[in-house]
Amino acid sequence: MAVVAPLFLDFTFEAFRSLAKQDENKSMQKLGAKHLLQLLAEMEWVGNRTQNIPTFSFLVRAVLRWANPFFHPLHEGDTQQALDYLARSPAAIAAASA
Amino acid sequence: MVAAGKGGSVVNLASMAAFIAPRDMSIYATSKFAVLGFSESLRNDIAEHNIHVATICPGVINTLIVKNTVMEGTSGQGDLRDKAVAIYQRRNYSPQKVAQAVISAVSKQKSTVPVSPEAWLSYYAKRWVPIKGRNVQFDFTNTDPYWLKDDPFSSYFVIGFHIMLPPGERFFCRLFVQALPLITDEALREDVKGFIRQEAIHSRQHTHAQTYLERNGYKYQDVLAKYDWLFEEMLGDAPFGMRYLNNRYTNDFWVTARVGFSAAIEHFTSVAGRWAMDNETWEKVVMQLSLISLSGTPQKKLSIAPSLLTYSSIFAPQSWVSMLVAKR
Repeated sequence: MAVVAPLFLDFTFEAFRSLAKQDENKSMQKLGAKHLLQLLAEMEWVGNRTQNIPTFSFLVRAVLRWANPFFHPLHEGDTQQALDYLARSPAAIAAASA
Repeated sequence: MVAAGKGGSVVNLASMAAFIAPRDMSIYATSKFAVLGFSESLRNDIAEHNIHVATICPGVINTLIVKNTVMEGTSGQGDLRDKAVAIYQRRNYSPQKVAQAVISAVSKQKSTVPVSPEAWLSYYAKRWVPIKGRNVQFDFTNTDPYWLKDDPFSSYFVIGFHIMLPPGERFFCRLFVQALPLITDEALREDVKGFIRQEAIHSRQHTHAQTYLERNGYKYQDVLAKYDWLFEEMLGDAPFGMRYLNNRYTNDFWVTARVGFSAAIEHFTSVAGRWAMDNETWEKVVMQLSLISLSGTPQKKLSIAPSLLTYSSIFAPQSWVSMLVAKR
């Protein structure tokens, strides 16, 4: 995880950068040129404000949970919630009836 | 041959497409499925006359098949076609090996003979993987690049994350096919097979999102090349792309190490899926913009937000990935 987490964030923002640089909007182009750490700060800020993406601190907490020696993926999230979601997801319903 | 009464062999050439039927190949796949079916029936018909029927199913063989075929439709023209020709050349699996397979099929009286690793893979994928993957469909035709209204940062972040998914999911598929023989627990192995098929469908589905980027005039090939480098070179069969490190002593270790990496990566998809299910803002946005074209069924309307993360399968694979690591 020590290797994967930084790599994962870096590679995710690599795609973000390339898309932002192609934007017509100047402020987005600027964001595209920023350092990873600045983008992570931006992620924290935007995530808190709009709730449209997870915040950076949310991911940090997730990684810390994983580092706990008693961690087991079964306790991560709620399987019932996922099943409930599948039961009402239009795409999954369409797939099941196809 | 029947009249001569001497017995003998009939060899029919089908294709890998006799096992799997990919997109845009309906006519080809139909004909190849037919060849396989016809051969099987014929085998039963003329077995009493001591005539044996073999069906050869080659994979991607370095011949001029793509170059010389007359193709209809957009996927058979231009860049895509050149790409397909290049793939066949780069794969460089020689026709001689197919000829050898024909000879061995006749001499050993084999029935269905896949030739080349990819053909064997699809042959066994069809037979082994009993769990039907969830075939999810999404329609991105009329979606705006700022799909989260007034929030370009989040929009790009989510779409950017999306570009990484298909190479990553293909990596999982390849890796877990290699890991299958190492698993001793029967139930776990069944779960892994279901996971492989599920990831294959997801990767296909997430590729559609790239088509959508293309339609909106965004270039993503550079980034995609970086992801391919990460998943195919660095995390490929040879450790960190160094071929001399790839030998029978390191093989099992490298498979296990990569399964460990996958477990760490899947923790992120799991967390992201959990986050997306708790999220309430996406559905509102989707409702406001009606991102999905109105001609589609109304049921499809809410489906875009969930589509961006692969959480239909994340909870099950999470548990077995860690079990697998713990076992080894």
